[in-house]
Amino acid sequence: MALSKSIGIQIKGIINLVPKNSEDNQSLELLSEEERSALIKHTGIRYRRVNPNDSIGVKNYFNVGVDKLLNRLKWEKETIDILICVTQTAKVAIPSISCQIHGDLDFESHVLCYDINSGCSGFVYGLHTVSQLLAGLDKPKARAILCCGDISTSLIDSSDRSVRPIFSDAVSIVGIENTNDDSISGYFHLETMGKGQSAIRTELEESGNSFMRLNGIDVFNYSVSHVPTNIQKLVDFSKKSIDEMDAFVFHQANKLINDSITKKAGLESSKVLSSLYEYGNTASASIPLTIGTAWKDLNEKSRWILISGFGVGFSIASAMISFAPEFVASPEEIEF
Amino acid sequence: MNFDRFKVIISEEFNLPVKDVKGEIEFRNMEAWSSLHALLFIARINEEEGVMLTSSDLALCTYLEDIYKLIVSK
Repeated sequence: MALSKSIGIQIKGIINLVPKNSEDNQSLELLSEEERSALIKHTGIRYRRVNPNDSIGVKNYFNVGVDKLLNRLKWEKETIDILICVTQTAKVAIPSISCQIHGDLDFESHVLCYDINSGCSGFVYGLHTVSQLLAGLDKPKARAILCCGDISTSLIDSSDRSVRPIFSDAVSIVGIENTNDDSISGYFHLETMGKGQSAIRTELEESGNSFMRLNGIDVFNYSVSHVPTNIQKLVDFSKKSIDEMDAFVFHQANKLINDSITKKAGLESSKVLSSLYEYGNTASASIPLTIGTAWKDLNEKSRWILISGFGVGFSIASAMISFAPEFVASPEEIEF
Repeated sequence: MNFDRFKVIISEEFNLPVKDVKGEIEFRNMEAWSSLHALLFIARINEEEGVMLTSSDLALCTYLEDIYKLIVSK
């Protein structure tokens, strides 16, 4: 059981970026008018962001986001110690995106860089990894940049009625610091159910294209059966009350799944944030992006939040984190 | 759950009059059968009966009656 704590690690700022180009499920030609209405009602997804330019990849969005994060936090590049990218849509397998960003933005050689291949649970996995790495560095006030997100639409068969209406492109860039405070800053519970690996996968077609395929029933089953239990074990481990959480932020799978998890986990639904209607399922960016859509409302009161990512793998990762960043930017539209 | 209750759920989830819901219907041929409606049906059975049907379970079924028997057996 991968339960762990982090000490003194704080998120300092979050930048969220989406392509300016969007699609509306209300006018999706694949579905009848009745099907469109049912889809929007039950998945909660109306609009999706779609990167319109095949020559632009997730790295380009990460590069812009890292630059914006450094400027807004007033962090000098020389102060960065760790750069981790969580993505499943790198345009090239070699070299890693984190090394590409390191070179593109001219970071110094002392920076630790690598990528994590993870999707829906990726933000929580990335935050856990960065927290452990920061704590292990022999440096006070060590700093990390965590880049999460995908250009998921690059893996979508435009004729697939199950996948196309759901997935959307976005990235989040997160600045994280070891404050050297010795109080607990987070509790994590990371799990894997690899028997469910085929629920979300890519398939290589005869045409040479690789498309994402989704078994909606199995994704629902794994999510609703295991996420509430994962959260309960996390809460027990933390010895905190669930009532101490100011907000619950799930991976934005779809409304049906997220509502079912909320109910089964016995969570107060008014504290559950959602960005599904405007942004759809934004893979590993979904949790920070959703916080960005609600930050103005959370700003005054938020100190502890519960986050949970689940999906491709089948992977589940939840955390209760102390949360008081300087800013969480609303999703910003980007056009290259 | 008895078969009459099952028929009501099928009727509501797949927009069929209750009187037209028969055990011998091949569910994949129902006009309203789609991945979304199948998912809504699975979610409702889970909520009301506490039974989780998997895609492998459904793959073994042909008729509505098969699904009903599967739910009862779980």
